[in-house]
Amino acid sequence: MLNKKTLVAIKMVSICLSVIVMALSGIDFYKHRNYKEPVVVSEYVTQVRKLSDYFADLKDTINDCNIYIFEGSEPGGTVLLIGGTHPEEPGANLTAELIVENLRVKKGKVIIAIRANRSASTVTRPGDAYPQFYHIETPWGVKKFRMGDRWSNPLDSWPDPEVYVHYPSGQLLAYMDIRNFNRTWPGKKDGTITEKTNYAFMQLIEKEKVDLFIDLHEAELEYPVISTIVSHQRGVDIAAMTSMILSSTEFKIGMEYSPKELHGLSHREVGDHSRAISLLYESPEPFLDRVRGITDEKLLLTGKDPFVMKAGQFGLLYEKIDENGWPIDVRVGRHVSTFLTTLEMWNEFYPDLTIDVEGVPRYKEVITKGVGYYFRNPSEVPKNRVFDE
Amino acid sequence: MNMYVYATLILVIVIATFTVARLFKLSVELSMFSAAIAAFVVHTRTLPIRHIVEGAFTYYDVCLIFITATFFMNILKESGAIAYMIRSIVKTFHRHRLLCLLLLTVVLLIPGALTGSGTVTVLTVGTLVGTVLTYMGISEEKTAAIIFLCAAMSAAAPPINLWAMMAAAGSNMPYVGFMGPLLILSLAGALFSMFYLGGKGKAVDIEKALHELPQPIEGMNWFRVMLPFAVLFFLIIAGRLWPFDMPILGLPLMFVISAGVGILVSPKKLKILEIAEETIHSLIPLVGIMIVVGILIQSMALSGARGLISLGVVTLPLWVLFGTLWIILPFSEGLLQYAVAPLLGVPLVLLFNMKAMNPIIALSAMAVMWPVGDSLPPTAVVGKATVMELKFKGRYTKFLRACLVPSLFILLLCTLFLIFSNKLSFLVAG
Amino acid sequence: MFLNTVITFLYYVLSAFIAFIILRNIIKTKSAQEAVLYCIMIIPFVLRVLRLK
Repeated sequence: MLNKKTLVAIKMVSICLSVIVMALSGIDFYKHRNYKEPVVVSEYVTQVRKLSDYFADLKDTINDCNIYIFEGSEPGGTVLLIGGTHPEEPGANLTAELIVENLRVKKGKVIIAIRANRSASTVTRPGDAYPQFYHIETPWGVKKFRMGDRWSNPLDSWPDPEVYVHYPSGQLLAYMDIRNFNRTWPGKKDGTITEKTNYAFMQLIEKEKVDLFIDLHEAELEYPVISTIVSHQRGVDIAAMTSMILSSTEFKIGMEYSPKELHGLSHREVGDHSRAISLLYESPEPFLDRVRGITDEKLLLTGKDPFVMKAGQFGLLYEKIDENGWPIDVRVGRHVSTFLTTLEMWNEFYPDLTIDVEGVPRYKEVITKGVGYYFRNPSEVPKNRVFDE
Repeated sequence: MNMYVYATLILVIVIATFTVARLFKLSVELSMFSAAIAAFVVHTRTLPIRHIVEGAFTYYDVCLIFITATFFMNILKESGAIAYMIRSIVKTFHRHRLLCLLLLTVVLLIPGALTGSGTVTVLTVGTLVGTVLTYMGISEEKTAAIIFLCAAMSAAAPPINLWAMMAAAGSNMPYVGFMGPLLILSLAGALFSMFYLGGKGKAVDIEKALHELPQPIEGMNWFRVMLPFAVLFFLIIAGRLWPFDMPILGLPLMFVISAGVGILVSPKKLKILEIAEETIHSLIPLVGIMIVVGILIQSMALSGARGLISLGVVTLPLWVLFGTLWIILPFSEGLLQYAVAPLLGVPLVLLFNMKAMNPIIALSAMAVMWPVGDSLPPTAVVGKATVMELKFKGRYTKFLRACLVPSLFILLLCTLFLIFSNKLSFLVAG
Repeated sequence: MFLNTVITFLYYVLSAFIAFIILRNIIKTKSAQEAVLYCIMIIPFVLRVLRLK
């Protein structure tokens, strides 16, 4: 039996340690949630708006993200590209940012959101040991990015329902998927912050008369929907042609139909509830695989993992992996080339709605020079070209 | 260093630290915590505070459900509703042994079904039902075995099955469609246990039984007993019937509101704060273990040990799994408690998915096998709670022996569900 | 919806209440091991109330 003094001493020490741990981790969480990523927008940008310009309810909320608009000198079609649907898939927001920093539009209009669901980029998943940040080498130094989660931060959306009933289809989904930005399309005007964000994007699509909508993603190799373009039925011609051209010229990529009975996903709902044709790109991200080994920034950016490779040898994966892994440059390169080829096919199918762009590198260039090569130094440009994400 | 060797080393460190901590008489929770810290320190060469705290959040929402559901059950117990329910059953049906046993099984299933915890069943209704069973001529060890097995099945019963919830969350799978398979398995397990162990005996000694049970509180009636349950049921159903008009309450608040109704209709004035405090106090070992399990999982994910276990599991041939899971699952539960769901459950769900089995049926089967292990050392949480609450004086092994045949029945049934998961797909609903 | 804001607030109150009870348990307990465990357990509840995680 402990004597009273020893017990009190143990309690005091434990309480002090607990307070220190709370303070130290609290500072880490706070810094992560409030870290701002500077984006140097291309000199050809037409305007930078806020998502709340399309749905005022989002004003001053965490999800009031930047909307980068590039208009050509000649009229044409309009494409909306979003990254950051799932911020645990860095290939998506890096691609969107690379395009924002380098794009020039000659004909038509390109609208881009880098962090479509900012809330989910302010939290990492408990139990999964994600790094809080990742770093990309650039010619002028290291650029730091927030790592995020698949779901919006519970600090912005709490509690979850007993079961999530998708609006408006009524389909039952897992309770936490009410915070999954790619299960809440087309959104709900008076819903949770995630549903309101989808609703705001639907308003944007309507007001800006968006013709083509593209949602960027990455997937674990254990997941069957990978290295592919998922298309709404109205976009299958473009998606199929894009997949054929890319597979014969740059890299293998598949194409699949958006299932009609699966609700809440962008490739289904945006196509069903707006005039826009909706596509979703997936590139491979071994970091997300449950059989992965050490969880760190290196795995996130190189995509090299012996355990995932072993799972591949047992035929348990839907995409190949070898000792070269799936580096971030390859993943971003796939996305940019898929985007550019999609626009080329779009222009073939819809010559009246041409979207003519330049300045964006293709797959091979991104792999050769690295994704960091295309990011500009925020301290070397006028302040009015720097925007925080 | 080769990642296989490295992750194995981390696993060895985790197991060794846990074992040494247990030898030094540290509680299961603190031993797991020590093992997690050891893994963190060896892997990072520092103390990654952020990871430790983030891990502690892994089952935060599950903890809230657990605490509020138990508060709800405790309000019903303190208001005399549960004693009233059991007295009424005994009084009305004491001449019909089968019917009486059937209703007592249902009473035993409710608390665990709502909270996901077998311990809550033992603490809220276990002693009362145990008293009735003893007066039905069922031996002490068989009574203890019935209470434990029904408590284990109640934890497995829907709507709240923590093992299935934790494994589903870990594999990005909706916790939807489990109602049917979990209900069939847990009900079959509970009924078999009750009737196998208690089917034969003498008629209820009604006088003695009623004398032993807590005296009824004046003014208690079936309306007051059922209203809190009705409100809870209504809130859950309303969220599904009018999802776009109802505010999002979440399960914890639903339990708090229903408990509020229980307080309002209670004929006796309840000391609410005291009950709330007692609820949390009694749940601390279980909430504690969930928080610590989260930290351990984070340390193993960070260091690759979780990946190694996952890889080991998913590369096993299916027939080996079918032949061994009925032993592995209960024993791993005895060792690690809820930690087994994310550790073994998640990779198994992935494997079943890849082998084109029905993952919901397969996970349901596993989620009913795990709680059977709650009587096994070193933790034996529910088993120990049962023998303590029922003041069972015999040896623990005697109690375990009484549990053996029904346990094997449950494990066999679940294994059949695993093997024939695809043929049973029609059970998946809601 | 205003009601949803109220509900969220109630969840913070619930977390604060649990943290408070755990704190009382730390003070009351006569077991050193329990005290240490409670000090670990209280962390997520406090950080959630402070809106840090």
